[in-house]
Amino acid sequence: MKRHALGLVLFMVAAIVAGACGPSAPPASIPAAPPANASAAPAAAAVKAPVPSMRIAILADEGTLTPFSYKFGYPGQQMMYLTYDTLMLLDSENVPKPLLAREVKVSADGGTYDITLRTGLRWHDGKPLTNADVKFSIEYILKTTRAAFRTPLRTVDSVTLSGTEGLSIKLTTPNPSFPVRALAAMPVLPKHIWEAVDPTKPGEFKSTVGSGPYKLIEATPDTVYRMQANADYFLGAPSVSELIFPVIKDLNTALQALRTGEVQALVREVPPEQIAQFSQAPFKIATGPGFASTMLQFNDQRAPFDRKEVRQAIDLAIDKAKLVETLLLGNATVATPGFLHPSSPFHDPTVRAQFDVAKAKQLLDQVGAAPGADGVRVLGGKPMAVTLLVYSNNPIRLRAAELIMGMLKDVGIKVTVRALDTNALDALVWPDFDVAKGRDFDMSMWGWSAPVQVDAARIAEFVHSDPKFGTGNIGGYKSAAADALGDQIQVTADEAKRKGLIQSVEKLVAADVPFSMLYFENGTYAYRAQTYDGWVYQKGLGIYTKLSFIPGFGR
Amino acid sequence: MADGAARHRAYGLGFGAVGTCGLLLLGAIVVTALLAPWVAPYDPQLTTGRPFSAPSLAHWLGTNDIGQDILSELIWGARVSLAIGALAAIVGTSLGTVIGVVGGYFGGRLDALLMRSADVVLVIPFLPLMILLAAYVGPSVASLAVVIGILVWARPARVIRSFVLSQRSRDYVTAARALGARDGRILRFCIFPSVISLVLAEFVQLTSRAILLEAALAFLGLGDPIQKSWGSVLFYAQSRGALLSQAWVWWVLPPGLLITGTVVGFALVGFGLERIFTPRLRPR
Repeated sequence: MKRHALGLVLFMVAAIVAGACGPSAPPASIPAAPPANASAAPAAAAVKAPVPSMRIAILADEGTLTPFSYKFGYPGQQMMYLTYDTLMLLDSENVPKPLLAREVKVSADGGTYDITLRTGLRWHDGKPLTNADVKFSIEYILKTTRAAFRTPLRTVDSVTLSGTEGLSIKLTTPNPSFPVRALAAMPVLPKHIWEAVDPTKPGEFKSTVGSGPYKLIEATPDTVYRMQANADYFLGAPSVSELIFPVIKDLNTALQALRTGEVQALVREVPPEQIAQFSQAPFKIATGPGFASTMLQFNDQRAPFDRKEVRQAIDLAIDKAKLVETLLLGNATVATPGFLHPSSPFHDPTVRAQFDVAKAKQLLDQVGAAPGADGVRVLGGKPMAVTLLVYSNNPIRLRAAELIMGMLKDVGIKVTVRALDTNALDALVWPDFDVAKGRDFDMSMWGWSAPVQVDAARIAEFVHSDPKFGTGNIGGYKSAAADALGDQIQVTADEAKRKGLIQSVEKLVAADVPFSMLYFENGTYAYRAQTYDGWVYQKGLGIYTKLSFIPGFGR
Repeated sequence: MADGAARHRAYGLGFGAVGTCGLLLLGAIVVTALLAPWVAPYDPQLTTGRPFSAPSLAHWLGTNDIGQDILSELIWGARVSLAIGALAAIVGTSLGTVIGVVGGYFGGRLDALLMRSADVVLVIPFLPLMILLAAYVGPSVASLAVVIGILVWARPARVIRSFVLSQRSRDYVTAARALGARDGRILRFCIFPSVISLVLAEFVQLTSRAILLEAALAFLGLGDPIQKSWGSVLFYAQSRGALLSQAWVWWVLPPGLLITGTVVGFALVGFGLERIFTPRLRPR
């Protein structure tokens, strides 16, 4: 009865709203084309006139949005790439394709890249973009500290130019990851602007002249970012003429803004419980695999996690399928224990997630951890009581920690969950984001962002014991086999050999369990389909990438 | 006279209808909390249903985001909320009583010093400081209670001090002093018994204040999110979108009503106590 009354009120409100702003926002029923036709929309959008304007909510400040001042890998970096171009661009399957480059040729030994630029490239200010800009960008970025761009360029030995379009990049050691990590990641900077900027403080400089499909015309930190289409873009005009990114810090407020039409899209995934609501007109949800991982990170140097059997037992005691079902209502992929996403072409299908409480108990019995009077096992005279750290601002991870606490209780391990704010937790687990600085924790809920999975060779970064190479080995895991494999991966150019090496690391990780992989949340991005429906889902990264706005690419 | 006595009896201890209502309300909540293992339909730590279920016969108030029974969470959560409230009030009133009595009785510089520090505590922006302290000492039940207690003693201290000031110059105190009683004896046998009623009333007020504060902290996600309390139930309800769907009816409203009910209960009991200790408020 109450529901009917509410429905009536809503109906009346809807009728009034529809009447008031009929021309600009037609009621949902008019364009209700059959769902089958909806999938044809992206193709049609490519030839249609561009959408005049779209508002996309983001959830955090992104600085002034230059390559040195954006704050987060997502969405800030992707927003920056709308203004700045790279030599290559990952397609929707994450295969690098030429962008600013017309052609990229790699020498047989994998040590030299010969690149020819497209002709007639121009910066937003009208000046021509030449190979001198590319050379300058490489040299400039190597002088800065922005690790995301600098680290992959460290193997560059020399850059030689020929004419205004040709350049040859020679590497110190062959690096098969170079196209993905460097050529498709490094923003090309306008030399005439950046040569005057001190490379030790590039973040303070605010110019945003790039060569990308959008010109940044307003960047008000913490408030709004506004971009205008670059009509002269070499791949043709982008599909939306104006992009506005308002900053809405609370996820529920942002979802409400999407619901009311204040924004037409939202960069964050829709929480699982609200997917059903946003699956109906006027909304659509773009879904696909997500590469951002959730895992249980051990401190591999601290007892009892210094014993392989204990780590294996914990991994076996956690029912990952139940976590996915309960926490995410099934909107996630159960992770396999070897770090790589199950949809990665490098993933070995024999590496599978396991859940076996009996075997977990047996392993703990084997190492002599017998249950004490209170049911908590005692190992080496000490009860197996450990602390699990978790970010206090992430309710899904908090709940994951709560469920894991219960699962480990069943095998005789007592877990105390401690919720900490982001900075406090990072300071214990990954002080100064430098694994060489040690660690002070037992276990932590953890996860790595999507780009980590794009290049499967990066798996070695999470297990190599040399802090210079194993930059993500936050558990302090040490294994001679992992080190040897990691060193080999770095210098192996042969595709098949490389794949074999990567799979060897995957199997080693699955057997040694330096961390327990839990799940990968699926990408679920809601948007108002009437405003724009030309989205491209880039595997693992979602729809808020350059690919969604440059219909000319790859066609 | 006879009429008054009859009414007196009808209202029990002279609590008044209002006080009795409060007592019943609080009694019901406290008894339910104490009997949690027997009256809660499920273990609130276990997933016993599908996540986000609406109320049904199996789950009267539905289930939360990981399929735990909300009713059971609220029943067990009452223990935490009440325990923190009571503990914090004990810490707060103890501090307030000692400081108020000492300041009021001895006066002079000591009094000035104590009251200025009370002023400082009164004007400190409360929530930010508590957030900071809670983050620093960690969010266990005991530490939260102590933190809240330390921050709320100033009001009872001021009230009690002013009362002691008026008692200090009463004839019976002067008489005791004339007979050679020491300060310790006067405080124990003359002053303290006279402030007991005030202390009780302040205790009741502080308890409800502490329960509200704990709920506020937990709602902001700054308590112990694994600990089941009314505030943490609200925290998850808010962060998992209950306010944007119909779920608010069974997920947000009940803990809200419980917090309101408890605070109202304490307030009504406070009225009742005032009636007992201030005879002129009793109906004639």
